[in-house]
Amino acid sequence: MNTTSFENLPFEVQEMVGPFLTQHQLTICIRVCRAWKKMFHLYLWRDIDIHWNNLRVWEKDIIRALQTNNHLIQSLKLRIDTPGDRLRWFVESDLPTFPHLTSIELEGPFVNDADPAFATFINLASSTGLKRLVFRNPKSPDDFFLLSPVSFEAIFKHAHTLQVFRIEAMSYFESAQIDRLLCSAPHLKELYLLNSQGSKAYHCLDAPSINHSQWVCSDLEVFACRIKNISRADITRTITGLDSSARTVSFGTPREQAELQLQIYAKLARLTKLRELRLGFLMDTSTTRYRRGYKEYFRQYDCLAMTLESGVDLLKGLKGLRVVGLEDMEVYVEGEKEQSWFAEHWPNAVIGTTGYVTDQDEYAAEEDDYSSY
Amino acid sequence: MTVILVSSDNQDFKVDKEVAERSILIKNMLEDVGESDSPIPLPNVTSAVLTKVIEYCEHHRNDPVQVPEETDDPRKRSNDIEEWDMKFMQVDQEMLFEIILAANYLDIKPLLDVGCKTVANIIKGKTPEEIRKAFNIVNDFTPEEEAQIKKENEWAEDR
Repeated sequence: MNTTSFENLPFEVQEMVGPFLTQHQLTICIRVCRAWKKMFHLYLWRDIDIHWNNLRVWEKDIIRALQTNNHLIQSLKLRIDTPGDRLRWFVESDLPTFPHLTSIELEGPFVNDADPAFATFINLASSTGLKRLVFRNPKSPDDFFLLSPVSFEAIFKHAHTLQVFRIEAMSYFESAQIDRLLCSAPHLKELYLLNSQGSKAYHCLDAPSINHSQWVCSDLEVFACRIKNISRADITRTITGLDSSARTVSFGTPREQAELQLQIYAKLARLTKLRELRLGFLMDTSTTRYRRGYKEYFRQYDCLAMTLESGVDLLKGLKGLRVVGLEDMEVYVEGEKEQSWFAEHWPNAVIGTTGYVTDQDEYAAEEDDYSSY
Repeated sequence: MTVILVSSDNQDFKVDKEVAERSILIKNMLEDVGESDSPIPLPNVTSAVLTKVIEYCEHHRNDPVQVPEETDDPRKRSNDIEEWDMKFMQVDQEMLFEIILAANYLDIKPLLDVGCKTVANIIKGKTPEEIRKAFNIVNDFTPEEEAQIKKENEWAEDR
């Protein structure tokens, strides 16, 4: 009787092992024998993860290998360790285009000047549409990089295929750009545009200008983007450290405010596949130090009220919600009526209401640390 | 309700329908023939292997049906084998490959995955020479060729 070995498994069964191997293991496997090289080379290059560091000798090898295998690559992840011009160096290294690329993931310390390189990089994906675009800036979460209209247009070219659009970094698109994407990307499943910081300047949708737009992304499962500039006559609060004009949201009448909120709720209510809805911002307490009054400074006052009076009941159809992020949006979401409404209509959702510790005692304990400010 | 499966060496195995239907092949066959007690011949599976496969299906009889998901990440993990499956897969290599073959033939995707993960875990941490030894593979590269491939791919670090 013949003994069964790996070699006499049918080819299509042998290659099923490929997806379970890491990139490094695959580079070992292609050295085993010619048959394995043929089989696993494809898996190695289908999904490539490049850690771009300072070893120029490897960089040359990477560029050469990318030139040879560009047609195999479907997913390209680029991690950069050092700030500065690394991304530009990479995109200017005589790179080929990638005709089958569907996923781009960039991770690095990116700073302002990275932007032209972004557009160049995205444009390397030539014919097939991108499905996934992810930018992360874990090494320098506080560094801001501006995404220019050129970068936006490069991304927007893929609107008809885009499924995941995720930026985990301090960056900025205009409300009109984000809204345009939502009106043009029918397959979008994930829109994640949240910065760890919460200053006014960063990604957000401007409620008065989006209320009549037609979002086509009915498959959206993750919506994480602030919606701002809703007049809130119900808030009369003094924000420490800000001048009086910034304390209150002044435009519009209470009636207009109420209508605008209802329109925005109705818009969100159509996203019936939502699993994750984040309208508040997340503060990364591990990287940022806070002074007394920061919470007041960062707290959102011109967002949806998320109260029953303001029309949150319109969202009761979003049964699939697992995560709802309302960090620092308003104190009313902690009200009893709303709590019981959340429990009844979103039984599986975790409601985030506070992103960071602001207990006065905590500040008092660390008072000395902040005296240098 | 039970069904009778017949191995290639003509042994009968009486199993619950629910267990047998972990195999998509058998499930489809049963749907095609409708209500019938006639035994199902499995000419590609020996009794030794079928015993193992049925053991697996018995254990996983209540698992939810796997939905083929379009994952974002084309790389799958091989370190998430559950304990029972891990023990179940502690067999000699020949049996391992026989189980993989049977899982492929009978269309039992979770078992096929566990088999492939087990193979991936054998590969993990080994040098090319150790892999050849483990799988009894002859090196048909010249030393120069192998060195060249190694050099070209050195940038892919271990993570």
